Amino acid sequence: MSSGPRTSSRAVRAAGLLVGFYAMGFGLLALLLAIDYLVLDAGDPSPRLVFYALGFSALAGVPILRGIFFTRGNRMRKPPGVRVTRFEQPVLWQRVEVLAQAMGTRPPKEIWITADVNAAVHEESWLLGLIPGKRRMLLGAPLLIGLTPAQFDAVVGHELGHYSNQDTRLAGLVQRGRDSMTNTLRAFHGGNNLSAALFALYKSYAERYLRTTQAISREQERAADLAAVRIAGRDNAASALRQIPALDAGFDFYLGHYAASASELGLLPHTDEFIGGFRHLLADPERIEELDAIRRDLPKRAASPYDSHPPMDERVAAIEALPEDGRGRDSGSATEFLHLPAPLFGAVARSAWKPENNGKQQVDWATLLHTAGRARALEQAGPLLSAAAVVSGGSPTLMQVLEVVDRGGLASLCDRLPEPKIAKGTTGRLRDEHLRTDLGKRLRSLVEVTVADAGRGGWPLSWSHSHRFELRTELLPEGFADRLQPAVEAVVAGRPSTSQLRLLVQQLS
Amino acid sequence: MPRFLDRITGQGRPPKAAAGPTKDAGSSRTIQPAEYGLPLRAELRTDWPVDHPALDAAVLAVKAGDWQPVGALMWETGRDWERRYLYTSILGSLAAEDDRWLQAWRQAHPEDGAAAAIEASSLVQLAWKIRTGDVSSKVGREQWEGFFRVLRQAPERCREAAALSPEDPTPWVVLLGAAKGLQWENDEFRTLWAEVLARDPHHVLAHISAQSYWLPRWHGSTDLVLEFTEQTIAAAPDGSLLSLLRLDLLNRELRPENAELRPAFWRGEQVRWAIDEALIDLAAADPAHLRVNTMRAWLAIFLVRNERWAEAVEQFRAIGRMVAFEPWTYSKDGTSLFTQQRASAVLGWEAAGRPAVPPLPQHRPAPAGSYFDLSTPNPDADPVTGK
Repeated sequence: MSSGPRTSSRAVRAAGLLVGFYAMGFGLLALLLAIDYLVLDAGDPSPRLVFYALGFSALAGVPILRGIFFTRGNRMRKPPGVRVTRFEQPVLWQRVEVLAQAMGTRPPKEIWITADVNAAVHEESWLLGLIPGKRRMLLGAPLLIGLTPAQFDAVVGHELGHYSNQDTRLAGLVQRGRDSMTNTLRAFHGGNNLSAALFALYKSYAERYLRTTQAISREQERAADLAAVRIAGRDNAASALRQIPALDAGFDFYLGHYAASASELGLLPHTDEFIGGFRHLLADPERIEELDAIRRDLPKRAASPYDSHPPMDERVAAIEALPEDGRGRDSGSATEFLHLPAPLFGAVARSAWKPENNGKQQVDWATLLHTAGRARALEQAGPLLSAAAVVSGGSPTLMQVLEVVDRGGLASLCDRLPEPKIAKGTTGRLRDEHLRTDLGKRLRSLVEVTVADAGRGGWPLSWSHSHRFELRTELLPEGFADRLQPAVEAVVAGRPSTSQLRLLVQQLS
Repeated sequence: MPRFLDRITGQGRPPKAAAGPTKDAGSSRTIQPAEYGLPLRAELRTDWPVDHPALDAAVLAVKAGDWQPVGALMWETGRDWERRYLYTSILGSLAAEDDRWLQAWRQAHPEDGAAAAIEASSLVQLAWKIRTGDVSSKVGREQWEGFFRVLRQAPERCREAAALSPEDPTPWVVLLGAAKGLQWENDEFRTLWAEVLARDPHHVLAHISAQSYWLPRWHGSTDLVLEFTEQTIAAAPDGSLLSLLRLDLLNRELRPENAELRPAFWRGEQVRWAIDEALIDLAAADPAHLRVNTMRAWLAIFLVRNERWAEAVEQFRAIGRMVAFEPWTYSKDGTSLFTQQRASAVLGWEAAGRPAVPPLPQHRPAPAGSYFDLSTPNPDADPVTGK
């Protein structure tokens, strides 16, 4: 870094601020004690005054102590995930040690595999980071699945680079201090008025610190990016940065639409697949296209003034502007550094999920998705079934719905369904049609459940589309598929007719 | 539909699309209409495009739930297909709000083709209300579902209406609008178009609707829509008013995307020629033709753009107080657009020293190399000069 001297003087100022932060906390404590001493030392203090003085000290003292001692952050005490030893994962450890050496910093003491899209190195430093402590590396299993070996090098190399003292002696200190400050701010969220007032004090101090150190921190980020390029090659370092937002979005989607999609129904995928199944989604050609869109157009995030990272698009652009180094892009997955990844991911999943998940039934993907699809369809159809039962006084079945419509009850069914958002504030025929469109969708779901229960359709496993109903046309009369949607629409048409749908339902038995 | 007029008002993309010379004049200075024998803004008729007491009475009756005056109005309209379609769509739009009067009529006279056509028209208009006139990317999923679900019911109703009055083109013209929304294939659409032509070869509103189907943004292309327009105009006699299709197309599709190039485009030779052809067409038209005002309005806009002030003022004088028709109605605030363009015309005419109206032009071939010179292979060469 060419601006060495300036950075160093800034780092010294940052260190001063850190000491000041500490001094502020102890000073406030001393002030409280002094007040208490004065009260108790007075000739004959009234019990009420003693009560108020001690009470106030306790109320104010707790947050101050928290401010001083919680700077290490709760997260540090018990990291989520699974700790892997050198003995269990020798290849991974060796890779991390090589990277640490290349970055000129010491390797972590512990490596933990976590369940999120994240890679980080934390340090249990003391006194707001003035004294270095145990270094711990967190590696997200989804990252290991979704990064190539060289992209892994780039990401891990970058994280270790935050602690690298190659460029400035105090840079590591600054990084630790920033972590502590952020933790302090986090620890103060919520609480009573008094902690709010103290929080304001700490907050302004922490913000001052974060601002002072931001330039150093950003320079460090750039240096860490350049180091990542040196280690992994330009194209791999850039593609790693592009890959992370894609994995982030992809993994979220995967959890919601696949792994956890039937959790509320008491179903989970097999433990080893809970996180591990992400690889199927990443390998699907249609999903690759969707993820490519994210990789191409990096999400624009408003940079917080305290964010240590320059905006992602700037970082990628800076790397991609470097000269061609001929190292190209590698392929494969960083899971190849892992010994027996499947059971490891299973253990990570168990460490991350809530205890009630242990009681859930584990099934294969096909069963899981069919069950989830059916439940979702039934949920959609539920209000329609209840409406039909109320209007007719009969049983909540598809046939009962059609019966009500035949008796001219379409409008009364519509009135008993939850009002769709699109119909809010509309009147007349426009409103009627919005309600009918909504009813039609619920009816379609009800028909799907009926077809599925007759064994003629379902929600098959597909990594390209989730929860899409498919007919088993080989088990159905010719033309059934083409007639299904028109038959549903005929029920909610201007002149409702149920005969087509009745005919199709008959063909199921 | 409103999108289409956005392009005239400059509300659509790209911004600031207003015609060059009119902008200053229209926005910064005003005129006293009465000094030029023009009606005041407050005197303009902004509800319906025609001044017809029986229509007003029918509309009032419908709002009170009574269909009988509508029945009488439609019976009186007889075989004036252009007018029949106009009334069908006005009443269809009322029925798209509340159709109880229509259902009563249908029940009382199930064989009445006029009522059936109004019902079909109301369904198409209802579908477009669900969709809204937004660009397709802004239309929500539920809106699309409702739009298609309702629109899919329209063809059957149109055919029902057509069976009740086989000679009437109205149900087929209604179906044109449904076909566009339902994304009919070109050949299927051509078959439908033949049904319209067989019943009324010069139906102006049918042509406007079909022309829009052939636009690149719907289911055609620049070549297809040019071919449709020029073949139509070539086959129609002067006085059919169909040469307004060319002005519409210039405005909607052929003008330069880049707003800075537009003033030159509007003053250019191919626009001058298109205006001349339309003037000849208008001169030959029956003054009682229902669409005369539409032609005059297009001409007025184009004459202002082409800076032919005397002729522009002449058109505004002839239009008088009726403004509730295309192209003004394409705009969200058609009345303002009208008064603004009218002021531009008058101010331009004053600034030019109140010139006299030149004699009527003569037919001549389209400028070589222009969009309308279909003998030249690449009409896209230079839209500004037409070369």
